[in-house]
Amino acid sequence: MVTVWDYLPYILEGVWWTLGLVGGGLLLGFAIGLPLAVAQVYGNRILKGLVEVYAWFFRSVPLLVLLFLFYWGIFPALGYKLDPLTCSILVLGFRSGGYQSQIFRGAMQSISEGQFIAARTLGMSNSQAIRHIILPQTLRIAIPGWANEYAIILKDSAICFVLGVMEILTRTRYVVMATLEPLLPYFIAGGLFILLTYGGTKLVNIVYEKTRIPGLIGRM
Amino acid sequence: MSSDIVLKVEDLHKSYGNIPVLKGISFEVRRGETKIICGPSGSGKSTLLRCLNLITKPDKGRIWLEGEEITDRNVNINKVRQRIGFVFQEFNLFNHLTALRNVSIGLEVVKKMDKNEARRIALEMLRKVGLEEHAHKYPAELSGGQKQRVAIARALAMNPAIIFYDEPTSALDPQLIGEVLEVMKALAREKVTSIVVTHEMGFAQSVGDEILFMYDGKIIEQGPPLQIIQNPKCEQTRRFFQRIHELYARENK
Repeated sequence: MVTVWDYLPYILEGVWWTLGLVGGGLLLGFAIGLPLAVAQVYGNRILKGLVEVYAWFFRSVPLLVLLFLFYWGIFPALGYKLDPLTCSILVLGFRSGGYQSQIFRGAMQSISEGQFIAARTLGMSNSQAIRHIILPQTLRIAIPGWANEYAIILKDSAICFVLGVMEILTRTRYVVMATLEPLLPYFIAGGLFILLTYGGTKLVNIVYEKTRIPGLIGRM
Repeated sequence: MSSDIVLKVEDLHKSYGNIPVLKGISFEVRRGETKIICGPSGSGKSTLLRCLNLITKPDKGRIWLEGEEITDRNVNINKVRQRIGFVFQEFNLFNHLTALRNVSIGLEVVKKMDKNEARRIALEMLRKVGLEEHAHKYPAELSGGQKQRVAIARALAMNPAIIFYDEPTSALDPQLIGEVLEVMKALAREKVTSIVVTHEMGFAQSVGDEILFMYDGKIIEQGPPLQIIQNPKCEQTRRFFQRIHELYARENK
């Protein structure tokens, strides 16, 4: 008789898909969120407004709705037929960009304005001051918030099962259907998410410690 | 214009909303001079300094730096600011950089200087303010007095035509003020041109060439430090220095 354990490698393979969703979503979210934060803090009124609308939209609509909206609605309407994985990564990334923009904005605003003015008095342009003085400190301050974002997007990635992405939950459900045994497979899936959350958060904490600025406690 | 005039200001005005802060400021700073600006809080001293390097845009008036009009629309303000050092009350060091990098970053980023050359100059400037052995410490590891000396080195490294000090000792504990004033005095004696907003009258008397006394957005009295401090003509000036004397007498008891 085939048991749940025979399917374990099949479920484990889903870890790579989950990590793909999370990694892709986080990276895209970073690429979107950081410029948005700069625009929101240092941009003109129009830019600030646009960023606010963007962050507000992606933080207000449920992920499930976003997935359906983009997969069945927006991308086909634009003439793209995307595979579930690509579409899911894009949606997770767009959404995370909204959240990450607010993480980076908060970090940026906690840096004293005097440092920016000091950079300008040295003769730095706006963009030089942002790049050399503000961003290095922003990224460092944002690490704990970013670790939180990792944990959230990791857990949210399970929702992508609705598009049939072959991540942990999708595979687990197939195993449940094949074995008619729900308890153990879902326990395994839950355990995998715990391990991934724990491992990822640990990793980010190591980076946080490594980038510690001597003598500096708390805020910049 | 005579070439030994480093900074010339003509009829400078600035308002915040409906509230006028500067109401027509004019003066000149000659090469090697140390100009002291004092006056009660709210008289417009800090706003004046910020207007002079255009961190705050003046509403009206003209400013020349070494003969070049910097209030002209076509002037590249980033180029102008390289030639004006600025030392802040709150130091404003870059928290993520060592003392050495705080001093060298302007040379590296703004003057596009080779990294090693920039750091050699930075180390030299730190030696000048007596902080060579602290070059690799971060701002959070330094005392207030040390931070301010790094900030002075940072301004000096750019080899500016003039340095502005905006109440450089006001945020310091009394026992740390001396080390900063010593550095500033040494620079003044080397004839580094500067404008110093300060209430340190000992400093003003020992190295100041002239005091500009500001009151309500105007320079109401100016002259040699000793004369202004001990024998002012205006009632407001007299009252101001009287209050400062009383304050120091109380502290020294």
